[in-house]
Amino acid sequence: MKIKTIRIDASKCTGCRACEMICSAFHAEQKYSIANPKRARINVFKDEENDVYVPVLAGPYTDVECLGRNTVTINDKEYGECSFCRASCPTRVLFKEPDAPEIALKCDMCGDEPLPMCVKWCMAGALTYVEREEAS
Amino acid sequence: MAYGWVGGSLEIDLSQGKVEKQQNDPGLYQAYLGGKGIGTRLFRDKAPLEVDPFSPENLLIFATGVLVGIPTPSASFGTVSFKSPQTNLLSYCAMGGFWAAELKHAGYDTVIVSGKSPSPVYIWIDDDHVEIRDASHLWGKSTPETQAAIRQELGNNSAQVICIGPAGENRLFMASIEHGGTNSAGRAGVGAVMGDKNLKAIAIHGTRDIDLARPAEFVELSEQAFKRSETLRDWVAIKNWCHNYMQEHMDWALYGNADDMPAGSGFERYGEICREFVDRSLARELSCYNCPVKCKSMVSLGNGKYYPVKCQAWMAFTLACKIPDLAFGVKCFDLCVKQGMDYISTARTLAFAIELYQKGILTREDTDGLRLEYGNAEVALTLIAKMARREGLGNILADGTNRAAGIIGRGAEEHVYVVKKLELMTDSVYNPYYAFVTATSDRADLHFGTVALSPSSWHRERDAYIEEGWWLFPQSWRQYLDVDYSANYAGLAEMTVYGEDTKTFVDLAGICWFCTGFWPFPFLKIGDMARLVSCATGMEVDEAEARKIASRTRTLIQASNVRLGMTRRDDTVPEKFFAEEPTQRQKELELVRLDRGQWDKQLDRYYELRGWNSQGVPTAETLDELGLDDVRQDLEERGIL
Ligand code: SF4
Ligand code: SF4
Repeated sequence: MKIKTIRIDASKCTGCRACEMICSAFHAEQKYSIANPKRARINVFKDEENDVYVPVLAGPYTDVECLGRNTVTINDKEYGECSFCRASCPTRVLFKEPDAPEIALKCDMCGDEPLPMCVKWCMAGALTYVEREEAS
Repeated sequence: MAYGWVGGSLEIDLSQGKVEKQQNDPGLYQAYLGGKGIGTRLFRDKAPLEVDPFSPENLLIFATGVLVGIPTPSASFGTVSFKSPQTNLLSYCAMGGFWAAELKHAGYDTVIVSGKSPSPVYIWIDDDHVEIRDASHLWGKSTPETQAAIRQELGNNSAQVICIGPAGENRLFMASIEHGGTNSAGRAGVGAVMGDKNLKAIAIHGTRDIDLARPAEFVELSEQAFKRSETLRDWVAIKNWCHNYMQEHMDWALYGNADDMPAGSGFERYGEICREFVDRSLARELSCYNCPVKCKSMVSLGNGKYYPVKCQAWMAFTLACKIPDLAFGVKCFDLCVKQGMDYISTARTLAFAIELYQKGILTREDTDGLRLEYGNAEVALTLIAKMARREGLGNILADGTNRAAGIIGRGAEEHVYVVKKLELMTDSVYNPYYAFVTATSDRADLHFGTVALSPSSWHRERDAYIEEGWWLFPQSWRQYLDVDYSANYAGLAEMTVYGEDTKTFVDLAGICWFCTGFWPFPFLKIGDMARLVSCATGMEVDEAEARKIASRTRTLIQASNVRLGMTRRDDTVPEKFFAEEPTQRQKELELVRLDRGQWDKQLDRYYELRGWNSQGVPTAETLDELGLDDVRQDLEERGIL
């Protein structure tokens, strides 16, 4: 089975959010007819002052929040709970249609596009597309 | 249904605490698109031009660019239009980042702020919910602290915040509006006007769609531009700059009050210093919304903190204080960002004060005991902080060099380098083209094509540069590049008008000027931007129409400012550039003393091309042709036309 992956190199991310922008436009009902990064299936987590930039791709939908919580420490600063989580989950607004929060947003790797749109529009090279074969 | 635009605006009266939502007039937006075009028009419609800049009647008009918030390369800008306390003219600042897109996604192309709040407030715009909130607890806070505190109290980490710092609260003429650590609306006192209104910040969160009229075509054009952007992106990369161009940039960045760089000052190895610095300190390259060009950076100084760096911000201070240490420049810029100060005017004012001290015009009695000597980092940082607080000498300098010279007297006036009372960005103005665009610009700044004319190795072979289509101007104008400025200024007016139309259109569209002609290798030219505007909005705009739209805005600003008393005599640079021989160093850079005869000829030609009379007043025919008949009538009634 072919597995599609996007490798994220957070150190190259410039925080430009072109990935969010094009993802939202690509997934419009009529392709590209609207732009709204709040509908994107990728979200760039930023903490400008501490120089932390992490693109997070929307993962699975979950209808209950998780019970375990974690923190991540980067350069001595602790980031709580949900900062880098990929889930569309009841505790937060991220990765849901803004006007219909019951609809979860999930990265679909842009379906049949030869290259995922976020990868194509990431001029900084923070996102790269890798396919690998895996026994099913 | 609106395409490109979102169709709504906010009018917020801070005196009454009143918020009104309005539907925009599509005809108005088609005529001016957005940015400073809309800002200028609305200012004229809603306030008397003669308004005292520090009165509740002055307006701050935040207007987004029409191509912002959609997948346009490098389009993140909005402008702020206001009456400037520094120039006493109608002015504007442009600012990139993420705020303008967020505002459109909240449903507003434009926000008009009037009045004055009785106590400190900030505005919270969350889609339909608009609220004026108390900001007493934020007063006095630095700009990063303010942005963080607001996000935290709103519980919204993706809200975009623009705010003033202590400098804006203290109404410094050099006070800026800051956003996100690396973006500023900096010039002409915009932050002072915000402070005068007791408005600490605007926080924005928007979740709405923006629709595109011809989406497939739009994205195809954008993708082509992204492709073309690679040349500029690589050229401007901070490592490339610091490794290859800093020495040359330093040589070119003549710096008024600190022009001479005596041997032994360390500046002869500036290039090397920059190379070492960037290799050691670069932490990350940054971009504004949807921009492939990484023109900003974060550097680390080894103390666990990160500092923003952009354009010549760090360089300016090293030159002003003759301290060839980039860490010093970085700290000064960081202080400006935190206090909310325009680095251009701040650095120039610092250089001015040090020169006056060196010349004995200022003494230790005037400087609260500070020794304003070159090479003294501590004193420079102290003085910036004193300016922000309006303390002692800082209070005299807080409103820039022009006002300070008036207070100090004793010949200080001769050391002022301003155009229309605004500090010059650089004074490579012995280059007639630099000088001319600055003198005629609608805000006394450099604009387009400037770099493209420098006798510099910044681009590859000049002919190849033109043949590959990078040159900003029509190819048939290449003979202007061979003009010997010591003999004549042929083509100056033509190129200025063309560059100015491009720059104006850039501001209306909300694109970054660094990507469109200020630097070499522009990947969007006026024709490309016109096509993008067409595909976004459904209007039909070609290059000719784009230039007409740009001229309408330019002429409206001119008509406003001549009504405020600006005359032909103001369209000039400081007299010393005409009167004094360039220094040895300037001559080595092929700079020449400006020639008043040639200058006047080009000024006549510039006015003629613009459709203005010999005094710079737009003619009745021009105003009618641009659909500005109300402005014609106004000028006629006042006897100006
Ligand atoms: S497009 Fe690339 S560089 Fe820009 S925010 Fe997304 S991941 Fe970061
Ligand atoms: S792969 Fe496609 S769907 Fe997934 S985040 Fe990137 S652009 Fe969006």
